[in-house]
Amino acid sequence: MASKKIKPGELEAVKGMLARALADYDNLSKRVERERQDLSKIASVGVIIRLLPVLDSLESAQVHLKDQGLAITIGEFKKVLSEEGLTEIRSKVGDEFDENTMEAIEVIEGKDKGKVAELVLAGWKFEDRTVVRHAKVKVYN
Amino acid sequence: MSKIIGIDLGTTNSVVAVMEGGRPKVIPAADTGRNITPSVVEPVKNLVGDVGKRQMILNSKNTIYSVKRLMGRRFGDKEVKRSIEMVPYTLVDGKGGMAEVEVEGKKYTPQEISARILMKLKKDAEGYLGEKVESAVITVPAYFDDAQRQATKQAGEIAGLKVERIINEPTAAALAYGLDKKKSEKIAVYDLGGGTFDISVLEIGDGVIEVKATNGDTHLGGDDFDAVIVDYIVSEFKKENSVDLKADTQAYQRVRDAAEKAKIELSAANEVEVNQPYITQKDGQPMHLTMKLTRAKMEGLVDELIQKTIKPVEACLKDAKLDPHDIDEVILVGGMTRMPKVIETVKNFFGKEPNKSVNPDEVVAIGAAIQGGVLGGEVKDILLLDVTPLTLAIETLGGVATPMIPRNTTVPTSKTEVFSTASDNQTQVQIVVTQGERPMSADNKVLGTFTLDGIPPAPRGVPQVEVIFDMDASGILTVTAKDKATGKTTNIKITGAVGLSDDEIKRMQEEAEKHKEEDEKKADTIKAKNSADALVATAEKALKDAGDKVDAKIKEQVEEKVKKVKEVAAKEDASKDDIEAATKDLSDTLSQVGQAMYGDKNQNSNVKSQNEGEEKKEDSDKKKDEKVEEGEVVE
Repeated sequence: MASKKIKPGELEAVKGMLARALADYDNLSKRVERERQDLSKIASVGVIIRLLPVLDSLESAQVHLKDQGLAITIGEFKKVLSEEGLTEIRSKVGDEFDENTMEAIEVIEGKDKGKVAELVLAGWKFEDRTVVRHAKVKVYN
Repeated sequence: MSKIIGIDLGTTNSVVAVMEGGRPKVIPAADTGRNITPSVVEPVKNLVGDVGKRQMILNSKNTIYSVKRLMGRRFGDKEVKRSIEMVPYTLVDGKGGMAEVEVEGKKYTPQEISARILMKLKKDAEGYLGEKVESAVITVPAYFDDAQRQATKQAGEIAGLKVERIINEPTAAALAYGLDKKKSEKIAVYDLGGGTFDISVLEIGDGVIEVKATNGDTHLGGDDFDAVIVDYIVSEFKKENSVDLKADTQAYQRVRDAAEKAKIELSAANEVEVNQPYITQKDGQPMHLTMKLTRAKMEGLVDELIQKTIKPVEACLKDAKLDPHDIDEVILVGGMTRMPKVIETVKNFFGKEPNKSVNPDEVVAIGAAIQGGVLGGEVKDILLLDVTPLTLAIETLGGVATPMIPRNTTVPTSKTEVFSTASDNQTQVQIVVTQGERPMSADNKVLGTFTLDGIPPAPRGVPQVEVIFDMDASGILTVTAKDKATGKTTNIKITGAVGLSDDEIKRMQEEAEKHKEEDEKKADTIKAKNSADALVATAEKALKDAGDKVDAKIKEQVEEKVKKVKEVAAKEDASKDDIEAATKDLSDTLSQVGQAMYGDKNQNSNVKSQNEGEEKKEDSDKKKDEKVEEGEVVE
């Protein structure tokens, strides 16, 4: 390549760009490492979220059918989720509403303002508290 | 120097992005991992985004949403009056006659509320980048007047951000598509979001983007589409079961979620099933919602809403004194523009295919990030890293092109792989370097050929020849072959591996696509043949080694099957399946030889790895430092 003259400041600019690129790369590597640690969890979360409504339907069915076999099936289903590190968020009537784990879907007039009036749909969270699905609750107001 | 982030501060949702390594990247919200954050704020407990949304109905008087509609507006404005009717929180006449919100007796300006959203986005960006963020580019609708822009800027300042620039949303979208590089063009930006519709016409000349005209409907968006679908599902259910799902809040919410899901799925599928078992009860009996919804049906339902967008588009063009065919580019923004019917309507109106390759939810934030990059000096004069437009490969046994550097790899790059010989006592290997996407070398462009000789005689598969492909930043490819035993090295320098004309690249890519199927078949057949060859060699060697340890009957069987494999493989029109069947037959018989010799030890376990005479792989995708250019410093 033919020799060419470097303009004043050009070298600095190029150095700056190089530093920036290296810094970006370094940060990216760190993030990739961080994300890799979470990856197995993230990968299963997508599937779990899609399966939860099916579990909900089984539970609704059980309310009506009260079938022993179905009860065992639901238990097995939940066991798998528990093995994946998930625990159920079963807000109880009278619990203080917590927007970090619950979603208010309806407001009911009542004396216990701000307290859970009914659990409509159980939520799910990881042991480290990352919520996969917020519990849907009715709240007194 | 800290990075300048780009923020799309939206009516319903907000997005933040940043330039990283010369490319825009959308930053996910720390709490949800989603790329969008709902523009919802509960100022007393400072709940922003999804967490604010979850407690919204419980705390409706304290939860502020759609605050963008109030930015920089006077309390008496028509838009503010309309908001008062629609939102559950309290709007008041604030300082200087400006609209403000009141929560638990405390007044907040729309700037303060917006600042809470910006603060969250700033925090998410800092967490993601691992460094402080001090400045931002924020987008606003093109129709925002000076007061609204000022208010947006103030919101940024309250959030502790230096607002480097306020840019128009359609301009940001054009930046995201790199259209500012065009000499002169007229662009239409069609933005159908969650709650608003905007259409803008831009004119680009010499890197300056000018908004020629804007129009829209401040109360038309995805939420309206959802509502139409919900109404349909509810009315169908009522017709069939005489039960009104609207009366059951829980059921109604499930229908709303299901409708939105169906709408999204119908962008890809032609038909979806809406299934919500145990949706409600009638006379103590459970009822299930099961319904098929076709794309055609949904399109019929929402057609009126889509047509409603056309009038503003026509008015906008009229203001810009342009006809639809004067527009050079159309850009789609907003989640609703994923709907095929919307795309089709826009396409038919303008008579051209709209740009939709950038995620329509993120395109504005991406454009803002690019603007931030330009202002921060990151984008200007950026070292443009080239990519290899076509795959660079080496020819291996049977004329197969074995990829070394796949297409779209950013250069400079280097890749090393170890190959071996294909026949016994082979003393030289010919290295053929090809370029192209087709699996057979002969169908690709040969860039260069050279020979490495002086390999000590050895059985096939034993010698190790290391092949290094190294492409520097200017696209010069150096291919080196090295015999690991003797250290003997030969190399070839190839220029112009990147420098194909666009037409040439396009033609080669199209050809590859066209011949994909037959090529793959051909390559598979050759691979099968190579496996067969390798197995024959193994079999012959095994028989020789075994000598009379093997039963004569088995020996005869093996010999016969070897003959058969050879015959099949030699046939010009032999199919992959035929060859594989014969190979498997031989392999099964052969294992008896192994069993005879070593008990049940499986002998042909490594047959597969000899496929292409390839011994082992060693990836070293390390980027090479750029060569220092010759030069002198001018004082």
